[in-house]
Amino acid sequence: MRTKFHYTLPLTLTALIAAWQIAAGHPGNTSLAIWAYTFGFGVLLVASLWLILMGLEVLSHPAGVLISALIPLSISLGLVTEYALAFTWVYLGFVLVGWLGIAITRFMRVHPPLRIGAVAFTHGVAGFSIVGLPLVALCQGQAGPFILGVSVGGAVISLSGMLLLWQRMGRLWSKWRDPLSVLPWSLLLSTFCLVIGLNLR
Amino acid sequence: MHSWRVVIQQRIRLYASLIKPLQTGLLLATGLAGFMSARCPILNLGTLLALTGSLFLAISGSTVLNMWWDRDIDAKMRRTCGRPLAAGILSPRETFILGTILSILGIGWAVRLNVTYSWIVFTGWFFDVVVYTLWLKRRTCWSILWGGIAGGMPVLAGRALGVGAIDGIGILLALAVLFWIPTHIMTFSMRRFDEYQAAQIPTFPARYGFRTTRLIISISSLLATAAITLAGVWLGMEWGYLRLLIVLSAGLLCLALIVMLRPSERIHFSLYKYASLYMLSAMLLLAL
Repeated sequence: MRTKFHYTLPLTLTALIAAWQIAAGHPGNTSLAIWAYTFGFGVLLVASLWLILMGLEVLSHPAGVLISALIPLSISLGLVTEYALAFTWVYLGFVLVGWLGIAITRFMRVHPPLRIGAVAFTHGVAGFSIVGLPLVALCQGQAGPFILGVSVGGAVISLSGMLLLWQRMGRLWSKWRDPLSVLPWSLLLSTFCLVIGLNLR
Repeated sequence: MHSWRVVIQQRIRLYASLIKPLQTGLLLATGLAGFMSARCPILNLGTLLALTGSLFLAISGSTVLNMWWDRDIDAKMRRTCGRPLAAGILSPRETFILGTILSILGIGWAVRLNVTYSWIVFTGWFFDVVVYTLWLKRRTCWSILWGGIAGGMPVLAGRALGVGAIDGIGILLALAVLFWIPTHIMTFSMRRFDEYQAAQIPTFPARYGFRTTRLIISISSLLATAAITLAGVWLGMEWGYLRLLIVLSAGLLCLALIVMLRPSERIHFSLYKYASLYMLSAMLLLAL
């Protein structure tokens, strides 16, 4: 019962916060930003519901890494369209190529180092953008201090992504099962921070 | 005095299990959503209460009559053999009388409320009890289509009561429920395949195979989400709610696709549960 509570409660709250953010809209300047954030929070919402219904086993599905990569990629794309406008199309290209790269290396069963490299590189750039761009925006006076919530949310979600990657590599699942049990809470924390950052900046 | 209270409490508990509270609640929610989607003055408590009461009684009545007729099937299936009628705790006569009284009260109340509304409620009851349960359920797997039409009637009835007539949005909402039914029932009939076989109930997996059934589930999920999204656009739903509806629809479609490509029992059942959650959320969004 206690395990179920610690699992279902944070995921339900994550789904509700993400649903609210999608319905309430985003204070983004461009329609691309709005759609990028909607996509990111949409994946968070659906992933939370799937995790509630299917359990952590869903993460072992080949599509798990592919779907989870959409969260940092789309949120970082939203931030780039707002705070690094000149790089929008370049970054959109990176998002598409990066995601396709993960998909191709995953489904074509290429060498593990290449597969892991594609995931790590794409997640790394997206994570760096989510953590770094709010800091730049704050320094340049483009946003208030609450924008740092996005950085914190990005850092937490990157950590979750790394946990997921290690689990997929088989280095976490059998030896340290516990770190995955904090995944629901880390999803909730990152969603909460992202929502605070985006709405109160 | 005390023993009477215990007896009454036990009876209420037994009767409550006969009306399948979750299923009835979900259908009732679609009816209320249909009514509220009309943007009529929902604070008219009298109408809202009458809608809730009449729909609840009519749906419960048809469900109890369904249980009464299918008691022999229920007794053969592991999932349902513990139901009060199948287990012999309630007599068939008592159940039949309960179902009939609930149906008469529900449809009668609907007649007093609005003629068009009452016709739709009666049609839903007729399709569920007579066409689906009595006539087709034991003959053809296509019976679920008629059960689906019955399932679409509460939302159409609620909408018709709100706008005063049957309109395109109401029909789209009814279609959404109709297309959602296969996702719901076929997933269940695959999960409980052996039990349905033992009870000799014709199902899609038994007639057309699992692969075709999964394809039908995916197509019907696509049609259900298309119908409900179109209804939302036609209604002039707020853009934020529409975005949320699109996201939830995408979740259902992806799950249906996964079921088709990489099936497993857990994913089947997750689709079944997600489809119910989706319908409830979609109806809530339409009502807002």
